[in-house]
Amino acid sequence: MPFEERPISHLKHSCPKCGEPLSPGAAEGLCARCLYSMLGREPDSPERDGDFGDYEVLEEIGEGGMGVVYRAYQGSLDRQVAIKVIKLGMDTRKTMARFDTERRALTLMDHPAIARVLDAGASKAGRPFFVMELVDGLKITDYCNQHGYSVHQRLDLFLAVCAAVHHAHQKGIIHRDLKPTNILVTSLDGEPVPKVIDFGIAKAVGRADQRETAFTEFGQFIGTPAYLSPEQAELSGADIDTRSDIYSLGVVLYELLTGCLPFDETELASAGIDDLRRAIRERIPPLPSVRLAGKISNKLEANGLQHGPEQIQGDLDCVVAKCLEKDRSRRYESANSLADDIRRHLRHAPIEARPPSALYHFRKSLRRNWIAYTSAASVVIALLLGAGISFWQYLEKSHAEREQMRLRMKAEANAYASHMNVAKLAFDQNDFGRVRALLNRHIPRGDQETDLRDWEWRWLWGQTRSDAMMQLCQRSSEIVSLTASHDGKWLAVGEAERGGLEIWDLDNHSSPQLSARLSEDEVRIQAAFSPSAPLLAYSTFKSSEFGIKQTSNLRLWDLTTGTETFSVELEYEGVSVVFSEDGQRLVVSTSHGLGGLIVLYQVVEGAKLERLEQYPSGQYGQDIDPTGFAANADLTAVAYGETGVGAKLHLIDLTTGEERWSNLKAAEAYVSALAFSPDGTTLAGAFGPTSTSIHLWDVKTSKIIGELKGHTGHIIALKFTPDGKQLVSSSADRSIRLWDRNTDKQISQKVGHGAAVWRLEIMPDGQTLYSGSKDGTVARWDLSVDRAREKHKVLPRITAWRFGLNDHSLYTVEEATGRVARRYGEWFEEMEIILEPDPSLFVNIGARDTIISANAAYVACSGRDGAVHVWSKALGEWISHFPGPEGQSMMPYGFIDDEPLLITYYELDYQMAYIWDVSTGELLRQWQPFYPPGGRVVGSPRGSAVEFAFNRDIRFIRLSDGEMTMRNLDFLRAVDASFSPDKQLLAINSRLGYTRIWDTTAWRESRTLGDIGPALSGLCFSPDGKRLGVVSAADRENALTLWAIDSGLEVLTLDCEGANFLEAKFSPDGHTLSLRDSERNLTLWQAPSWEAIEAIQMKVSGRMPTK
Amino acid sequence: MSSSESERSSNWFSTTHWSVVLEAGQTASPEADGALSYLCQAYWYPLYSFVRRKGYTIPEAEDLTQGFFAKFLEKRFLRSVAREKGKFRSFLLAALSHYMANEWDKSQTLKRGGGSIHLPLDTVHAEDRYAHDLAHRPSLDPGEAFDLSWAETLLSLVMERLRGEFERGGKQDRFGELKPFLLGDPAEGEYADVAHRLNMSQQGVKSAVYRLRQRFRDLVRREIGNTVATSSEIDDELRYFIRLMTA
Repeated sequence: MPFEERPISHLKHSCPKCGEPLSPGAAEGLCARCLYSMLGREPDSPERDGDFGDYEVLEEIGEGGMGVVYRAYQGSLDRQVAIKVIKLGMDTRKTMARFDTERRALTLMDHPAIARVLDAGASKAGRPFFVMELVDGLKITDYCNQHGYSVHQRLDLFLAVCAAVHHAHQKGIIHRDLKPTNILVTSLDGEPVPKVIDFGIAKAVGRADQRETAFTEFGQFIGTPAYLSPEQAELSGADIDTRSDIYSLGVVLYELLTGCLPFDETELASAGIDDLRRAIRERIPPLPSVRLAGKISNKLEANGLQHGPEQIQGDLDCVVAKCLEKDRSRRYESANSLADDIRRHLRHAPIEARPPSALYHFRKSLRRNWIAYTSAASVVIALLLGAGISFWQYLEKSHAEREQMRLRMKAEANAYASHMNVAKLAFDQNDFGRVRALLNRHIPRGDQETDLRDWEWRWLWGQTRSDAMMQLCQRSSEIVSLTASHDGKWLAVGEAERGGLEIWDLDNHSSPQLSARLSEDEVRIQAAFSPSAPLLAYSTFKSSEFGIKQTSNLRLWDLTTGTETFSVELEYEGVSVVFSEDGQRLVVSTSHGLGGLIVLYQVVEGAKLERLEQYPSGQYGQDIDPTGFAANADLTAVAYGETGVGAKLHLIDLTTGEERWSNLKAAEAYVSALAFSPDGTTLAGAFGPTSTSIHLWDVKTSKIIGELKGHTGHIIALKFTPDGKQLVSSSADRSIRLWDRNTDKQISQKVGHGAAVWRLEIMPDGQTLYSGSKDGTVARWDLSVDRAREKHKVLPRITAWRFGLNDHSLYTVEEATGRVARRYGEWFEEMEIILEPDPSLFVNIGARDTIISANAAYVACSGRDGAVHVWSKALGEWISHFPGPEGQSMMPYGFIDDEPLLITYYELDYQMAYIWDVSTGELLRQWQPFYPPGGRVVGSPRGSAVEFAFNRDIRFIRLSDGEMTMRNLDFLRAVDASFSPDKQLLAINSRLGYTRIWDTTAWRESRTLGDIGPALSGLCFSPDGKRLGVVSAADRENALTLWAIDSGLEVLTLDCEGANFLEAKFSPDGHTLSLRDSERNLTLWQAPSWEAIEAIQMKVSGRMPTK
Repeated sequence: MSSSESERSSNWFSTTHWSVVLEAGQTASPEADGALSYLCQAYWYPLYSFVRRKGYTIPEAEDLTQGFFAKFLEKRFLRSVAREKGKFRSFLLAALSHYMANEWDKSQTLKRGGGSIHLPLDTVHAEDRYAHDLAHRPSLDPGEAFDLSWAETLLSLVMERLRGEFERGGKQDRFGELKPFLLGDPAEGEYADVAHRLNMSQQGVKSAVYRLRQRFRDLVRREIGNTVATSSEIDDELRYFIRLMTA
């Protein structure tokens, strides 16, 4: 019990000294205030040993060659100082005398990077001591290593030291004992402040003494002679001058750049004194870059170095070498010239230390210019490197050209991004033709063009992939007629402009042959094959220059002899030619633009035509233009449309010439397509230019019996299948659709044409379809195949997932059961269970209850016993368990990257986090994590786990030795973080709505994507490192946005059902994108690979694609 | 061997209580348990006064303090504390604040204590002391009050030990006579009076006072050392208390 019994009277007492009332807790009745006041007084004690007068020794802080250093308290000035007490055995008087001469010079030194020598004296016991400014810092080498300083940062710090040394030299003070223990670095407001200590002491102590110090102590004391210049190492030597300090600076620089000394310490240790001197005097140490390369190749610890030999090679090698020259006349004459050379190197200007050569200067100027350009627009470099343009080619151009090039590249990147966004909009509107048109614009032609395409292009391509089986031909203008023979052997193709009628031989399905080209100088040929004879009837049109003379003919062509057998002039241009089913009669619809004629012919002797009847179309004599034409199988009825006031559909009985009925659509302008069903009972038709539905009339009653909706553009062609059960339509929306006549619903949609589809022809087999487009292409399709076009797929109830590393597979953890499965198949629809954790033993509710490592080699589960249990796939059994501290549950957090390194933490309040190597079961590291927790813990380039705080701080935990370094970056409210696959970039998502990217070599902010806005959640880099997927937490329309990292532009936004989107991942093969929401639904999108695209394109077009 | 040298020898510091506790870290050890127990028993009053200053009633404060220690000692929070954590004083206050914010409300409905550890805390005397503190320094914020009472408690511990040393040597009378000189320098003739009463020479009294002051200072440093993590912090802590108490 801390309290004694005390008389109650104490309660009423007050202190005799200060008068304050005494507390009941006052010990021994003494006033606490006065006691402390006494403690604050400096004791005066003649009996103390080792007294240093005004200085009260507090504790020892180091040992040097000359003596011990203490931390002391200077009572008179109420401050802490450092006291260096010189070893006994040195001649005190002489020492003090020498120091006095230096003293004045020392007090004149006033430099922020030099620790001041404040005083000197002798202790009561007669030991001389020096009083110096107390510097509480780390050795410069330790400081740089601990803070993970880059070469640039180390050089900056070194420059400050050079400045200090130069200042002292100018005052005539030589340090003589420069080494990292004498160059301490403290942090002031986050900035490093170097301080050189012990200036002038070496000289005061004396040359002879110092030399003795260095050598007699060698092997017994901590200090090494490694920093002594060759002249200092001489027993009988020249005077030491400032260049000796330059040498020592060179050694320090060597150590900063390589982590070790120029001379091997163990070698030095075993050498005797004379050998040592000779070593220092004669041996040339290896260049820093060589030394560092050697260390790395021997797999020695990098010791906090963040750089490789390539950054030192060249300039810095030479600078160090010049400092370490044995002949001091060859060294830098001053610390300033050393600093200048380093500054030149940092500016990429030629340094003094280099042997001059034309190539060297040339290289330097290139590098300087390059930097100027890159600082203007970092986009350029990224695009340059992606373009395959060699750097030299770029430089050869003039400045103006380069500027133009840069602007052009930027414009291209912008155009690409906007086209991709527009393409996505078109895709959402089912305008596949438009999508393809936009995609095609960015196929690079030739080597010169940059290829900006990536996942988004491939995905859109995959989604709008042509269903066509092949492309028959490519004509130079619109396809205006397409007709097949009734045995399916021939196909006739007519186009709008010159070229005549092409006859294709389809006998060999896989390679049709162009058999003939008829009437090459005539245009707009309409044709029909006779059903009963090898005969082709076709109408032609030719107009002279300026359209003055126009002729139209109707001809017959014998397919077996390949000759024309009949020709007759038509009054007007032929618009449609139809044989009767029995091949005996022919009807031709003609039009002159303001009206037309429907003419009926008889086939005579299998080779001639005889006109039978003619009926005017547009019989009302008004300005009308017959459009759309259809005849039934036995030519007893025809239907045609009129253009006039509205669009009017007429049904004419060809036997009587009477009109049976008509149908007016006032809102439209013309009838765009017509077709009779094979049994003649139904007429299908459509109007234009705006109506997108197909109407069905009962021929007898003229009643509308159906309306087919689905197209997004007006209908241009209609054809029934031979069995009459299905209707095929084509439209300005570039698609071909198949409809079921029973249900009047769309069965399927075929896309692939890049322009409006003008003509359709169904082959007699009822399955093969040919189509002709406005862009002159004719394609073949298989109606029976309906390629399922999956936009995306959703796997429900997934709490955790990882793509397989080496194949097309997906490892998932199922909600509630915690079952771990490996899924495969195109859409990962097949499943094999790998592990079923017993639900009585394991918890499986939260997203972090079951965690899988790469390829599910290890699975970590939350046990109900409060421990984390680890299962090994290879062994098929549970191999480890990691319990939490008493009363706390241990939770698995995740595996670091693809390593078998598991992070666990306490359940309740993140007090402690642990990293385990599950392959061995050992605990590697533990630390107290940030609170509140920020983004993920991920692996970083240099064997460290990286932890992100909610705001600004990131912590590197080096796995090999647990060394932790912190870095401060400008970010707030981090929610997810990831390194790029090559670890060159770091991206962090902020809940505030932006993504920030840093370059991890210089730790400079590279760019910020997005702005303050709706909260972001997860992010993921694409495997090629060129795209970054960013998840928007609550925006369904823009659930996942894909950014092009080079240009900093959005190239695709994917919408998704669900809410509260959390995490996104790319598959390692770069084909699959996945997104999970809080409902545990995993949405997958897949894009075909470049190889697959190439293969499909080749198959369809039958020739090499342009890529 | 002078006390400062013994202080500086590394052996000493590694046996100070807080160091022992930190050293023990995750592993249970009787030394660590004992050390921690000692620390808690010694310094519970500052915690109590902190809680009271926060506005809790006496029974609430009793309950809270008890509960805190029980949980504190049972839960081995200290396992998660890294060596660089610094002073026991700050750590204890932080842990208490955390406990007050999170745990105590929850545990109100649960059985008190939750375990077998039950510290004998003298709340009656604590209230006396608290009442006095409150009366004479009403405007302190709870954190300052905590530090002040900590500084006072420290002195009590030291004085107790000092008295103990004298008693073991059979010199309790001497202690009683000399202890006022810990407050400051004597008035004229005081040394003579004391010398007379103790049957010693004046020079002897002077030397004895000197040694007593030294020993007191040493013990203060040692006790502070019990509650900090590195020896360099002892000076800072002592200077802080001096400033705090003499302001």
